[in-house]
Amino acid sequence: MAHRYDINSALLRDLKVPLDGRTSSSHSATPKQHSQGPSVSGTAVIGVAFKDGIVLAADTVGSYGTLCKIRTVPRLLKVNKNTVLAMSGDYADFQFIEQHIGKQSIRDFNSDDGYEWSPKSLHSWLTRVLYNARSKIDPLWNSYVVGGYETETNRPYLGGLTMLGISYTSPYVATGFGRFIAQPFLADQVEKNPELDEKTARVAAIHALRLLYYRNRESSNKYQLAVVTKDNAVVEPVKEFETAWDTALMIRGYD
Amino acid sequence: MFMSRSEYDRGINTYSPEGRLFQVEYAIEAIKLGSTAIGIQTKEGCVLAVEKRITSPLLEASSIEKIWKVDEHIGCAVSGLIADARTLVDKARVEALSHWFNYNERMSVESVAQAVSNLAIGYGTTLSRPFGVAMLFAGIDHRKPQLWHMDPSGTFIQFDAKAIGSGSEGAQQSLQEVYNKDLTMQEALKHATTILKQVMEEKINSVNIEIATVTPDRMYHLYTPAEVEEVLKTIT
Amino acid sequence: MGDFSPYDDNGGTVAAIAGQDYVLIACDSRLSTGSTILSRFTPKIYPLSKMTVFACSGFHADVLTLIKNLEVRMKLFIHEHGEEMSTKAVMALMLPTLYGRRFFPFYVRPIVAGLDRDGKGLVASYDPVGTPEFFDYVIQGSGENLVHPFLHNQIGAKRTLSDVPVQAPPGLTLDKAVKLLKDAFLAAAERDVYTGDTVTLVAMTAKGTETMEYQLRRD
Repeated sequence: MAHRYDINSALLRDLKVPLDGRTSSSHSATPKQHSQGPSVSGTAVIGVAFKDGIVLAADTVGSYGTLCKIRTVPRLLKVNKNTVLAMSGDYADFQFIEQHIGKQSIRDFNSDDGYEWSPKSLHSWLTRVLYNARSKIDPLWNSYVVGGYETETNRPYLGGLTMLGISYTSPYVATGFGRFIAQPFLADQVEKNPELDEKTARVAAIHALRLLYYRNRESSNKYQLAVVTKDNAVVEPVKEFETAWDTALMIRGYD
Repeated sequence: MFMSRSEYDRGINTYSPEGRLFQVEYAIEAIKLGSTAIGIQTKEGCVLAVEKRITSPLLEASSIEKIWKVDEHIGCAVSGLIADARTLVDKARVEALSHWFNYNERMSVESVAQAVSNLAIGYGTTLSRPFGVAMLFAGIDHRKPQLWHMDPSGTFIQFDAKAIGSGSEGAQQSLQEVYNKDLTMQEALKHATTILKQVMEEKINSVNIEIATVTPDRMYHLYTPAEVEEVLKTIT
Repeated sequence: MGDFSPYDDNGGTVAAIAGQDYVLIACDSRLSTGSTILSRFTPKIYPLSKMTVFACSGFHADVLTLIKNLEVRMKLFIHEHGEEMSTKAVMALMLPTLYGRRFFPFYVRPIVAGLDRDGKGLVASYDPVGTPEFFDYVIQGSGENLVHPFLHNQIGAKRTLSDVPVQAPPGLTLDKAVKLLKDAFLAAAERDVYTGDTVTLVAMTAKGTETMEYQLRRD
């Protein structure tokens, strides 16, 4: 597991005056430092494929260490009517990627040749970007879930991607902490019902976030869903899900 | 405006209004001044035979080389500017070895010809003129014995039998007359030397020709003067 | 902080058997990181040509990059030489490809399996920097240590006290080979947490390629 980001030492490192008394110099006393941990970051995101589409879900917290720095920040990106992206990890790195995708989408639109991102092509491109960054030991500190509807195969597409460039597809995916808590629940839902419909998938996705919220202090119950079906992708407005803490009173023995 | 052909001769990469590249054509003409080289492909293997012009009795004949080994399984006979040929043969050797290094298998004769052709047509970057040589690549790869010809334009074509150099016109005619698909190596050797003898100005002997064969058992083999002598005995 | 590692180990097991007139290659489909599962649906076999398949466990991002490189090389070879790269040539090409990254290696355990031009089975395995080894049977990856002795005993006839004649590869039939590798993966999934979910077996003969899939433990 990655270490927690220590804000105090990071701030000290940034402000520290070199020991030899030089305050600034074109030749730094230390070699160039690449990012070594996330700053403002988002926690787990999840994705579920259903019969004729996919659901992505994420809460809306931007954490700064243990501080809930931003309460409402979008972590789902609609790329086009077939493709959505969900991020976890460093928010600034995500914004860098977001800008890239936006620029490319505009170039594709201007080409006017009918070509645009598909979930598969976005997944593949992002894999190369993250892998190349990690190979320069200057990683982009993100995990992604790419989802959508693949017009070429006429099937829903759902893939995961880690900051090192490990990419894979699966009918259910979760990043980070979600791999421990959300993924087993989603696996259970999908395997019980391989012909999952949209409604059940939505309920499952929200419940997965709820399970995460119960155990993950970085998360919140403010969330967004993105639903992609053939020819339509919607990133829904921020909502809150209901929680029940009454059972918490019955937990004994570990506090 | 340019009024005559000579004004289009200058730029090596300039087409004439009729769509010709004169420098390339002149290079092909230059080959026709070169010594004659003959290649024959049979089911059993390939034969290369070339004429060496011994211009002085004081000249050490063995120092003139016109057949080179490219790799164990490929030989190359040339006609034209021998100095240019060395550059191209060097390319062929490097490519064949690089193929062996990467794939641990013999490079096909066609691929060697292709690689050399890439260098030959890229003359603008390496040389201020087209290469002044024609080449015969004879070899055996997993697709059996084969003979490939390449000229200064970089065009490479497979032949059953091919002659290049000053005597090539007559020699090619003779090859056409004697060639058949079921030729043995012995017959091919005999035909190659007989035709060479016909087109050579000097009297043929074991010193003023070179012979090489590529066969499955011996692969590339350059004949010693004694072996050439043996072959010459068969043609009287 | 400052502990960023460009590597991960995503586990998984790959194995292959070379027969007289077939080659059999197998893999599981689990992709792990640390103690968690990333995907249960990611087999590690990648077809390269009609005659050759590639299988690889290790760091999945490197596996994906390596296979992309190889696919490009396969296509370029066809354009340059007018025919598919032979299995032996693919096996040879692995060395410069992997060794080219000697000082920032692909963290992978590859197997190349296929048929030669006469239809005979060939298997080669490699370490991360490209050292090739040629075997009649091989297993690599997280289940390697558990299952290698089983293959040695059943195929290699090593340390066998049994009076049942062991079928070494020249006599080993494809059917028997399928049974052995299926058992090998069932056994690996039993004890190796990084091996499981599905075993995919690809049997290749001069007649064509057949793919089989069986469930493994999912815990």
